[in-house]
Amino acid sequence: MIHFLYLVGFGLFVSVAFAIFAKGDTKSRVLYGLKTFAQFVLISMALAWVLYFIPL
Amino acid sequence: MNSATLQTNDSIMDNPVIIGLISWVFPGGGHLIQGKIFRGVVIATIIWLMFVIAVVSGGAHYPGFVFNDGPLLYLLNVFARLGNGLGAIVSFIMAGTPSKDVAALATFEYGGRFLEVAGLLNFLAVIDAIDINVGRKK
Repeated sequence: MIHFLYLVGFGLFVSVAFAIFAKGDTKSRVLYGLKTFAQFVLISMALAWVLYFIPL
Repeated sequence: MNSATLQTNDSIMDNPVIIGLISWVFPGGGHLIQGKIFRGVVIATIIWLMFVIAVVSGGAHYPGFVFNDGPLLYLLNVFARLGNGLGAIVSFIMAGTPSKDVAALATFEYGGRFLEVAGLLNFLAVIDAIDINVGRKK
């Protein structure tokens, strides 16, 4: 569980920072931040499931 | 405050090198000093929160080996950590006195990543503050 919390926290912090640094109006920056956060979490989860089935 | 003092303050604020230095040493400071209060507060909150989480997780002791064991990883870590400004000094002082069980923490490597990314985000904040100062960004 702690690993997932770190992932969500990391995604949240970095997404907000990216949205702050982005150009454009407030609405587009908020959407960009939400999209980046969703990408961080969903792609990480997908990769975690793929790696789960690969024996290392 | 007389006009000479005001003029000196203005010329300091017009200098992108000074703004960059302030922004690097105190994350968010470069924006705050230019009147970008909201942006400065958000940047400062994010970077300092990441720094505190990193330190609590044992990240100041990452990667846990000396330069000769892995120069590239070691240098990348030092470069990213240096971005924290004041926090970098704190983390390097903490790294000088590691406790025995820090590498056994489950969050040891997460802390290392948080510390590095906080520093890299602060590098972006420095560039952003300079861009605002020279008029490339509002």
